[in-house]
Amino acid sequence: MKKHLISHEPKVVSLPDEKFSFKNLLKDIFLTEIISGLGLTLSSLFKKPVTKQYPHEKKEAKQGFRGLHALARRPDTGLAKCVGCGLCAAICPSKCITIYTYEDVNHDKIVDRYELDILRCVFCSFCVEACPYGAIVMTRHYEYASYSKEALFMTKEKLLKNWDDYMSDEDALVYFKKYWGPREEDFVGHEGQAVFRNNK
Amino acid sequence: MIGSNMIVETESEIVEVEEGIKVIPAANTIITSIDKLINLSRASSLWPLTFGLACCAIEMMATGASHYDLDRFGIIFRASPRQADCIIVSGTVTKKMAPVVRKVYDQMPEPKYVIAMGSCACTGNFYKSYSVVQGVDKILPVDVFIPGCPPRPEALMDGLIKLQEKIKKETHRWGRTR
Repeated sequence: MKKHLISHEPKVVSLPDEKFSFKNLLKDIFLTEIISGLGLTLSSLFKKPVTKQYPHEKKEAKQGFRGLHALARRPDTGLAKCVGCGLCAAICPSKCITIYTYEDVNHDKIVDRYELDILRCVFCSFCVEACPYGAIVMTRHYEYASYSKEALFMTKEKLLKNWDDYMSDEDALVYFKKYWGPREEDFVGHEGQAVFRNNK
Repeated sequence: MIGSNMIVETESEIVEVEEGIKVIPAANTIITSIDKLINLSRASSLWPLTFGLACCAIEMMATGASHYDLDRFGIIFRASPRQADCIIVSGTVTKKMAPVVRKVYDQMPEPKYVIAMGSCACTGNFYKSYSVVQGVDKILPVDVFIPGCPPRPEALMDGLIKLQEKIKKETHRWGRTR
């Protein structure tokens, strides 16, 4: 028979005996450790409070923050930059983007509907990284709690409105260029077609 | 004692200071509906249930901590559903957890409110799976949806303020169940 390797006897660990000293006795009598602890508490009374008074005092989101989505507008026509290639929908981990396109009489691809379910979104920004045109961006806006699910189901119109609301000012555009920069600057344009990466 | 520089209000006309709140200055009286009074007290002491299910709970804890401080809104986390007014479902609700969520909700006294915090609680997020409830609104009547993965503490506070606004707009929700 095998010998049991694990013994069930409890190990007795004895702490080294603390030698009696006059200093320790004084410490016990005058509760110096408690006083020093309370001193720390008292010192924070004179420090500036760290609390942000939220509804009145709002903290600006850090650059590169992934907030509410928006569809970028073309500066020349004012229409959405989106060409309906479907790369964002393909890469989306939660499959929350649906794009419906059709071919018009001039054989152009028209984005009919661009639907994004914000409530399913993971805010990973893969869609922004996948987009070759920088058509979909993420804004710094994050206060959009809602009473209904329908209000958070984004259509193309709502997403374009988000662009107008949160991305049209200069400050936001700088942020947008720096972090979600439109890749079109790295691409060689080719009229009416998908463009390819320019190896700089 | 009335000082010489003090003005004694002798105006007996009723002044409407806010919608539904009237003041009679001469009688030092405020007139309001019982709805307003009850809603105000409910909204200003909203006690949510500590119910963290996943990573959103970490953000919920951060919201309760000193940098954001939910106590400013009268929101104090309670550990028992019997003492809670509102449940913040923060995180993925699995099908195994769903009966527990429902039971905890049923144990709460009326009036009770539900906040779905984060994408997982709202719709199930990318867990389109056999084991995950596709949105807590399938099992509970959700009042406020807060998207985000996870939402910022400010976003949660925004949701709570929106819930308070909703409570303030309620009419005749006392003395009876929903």
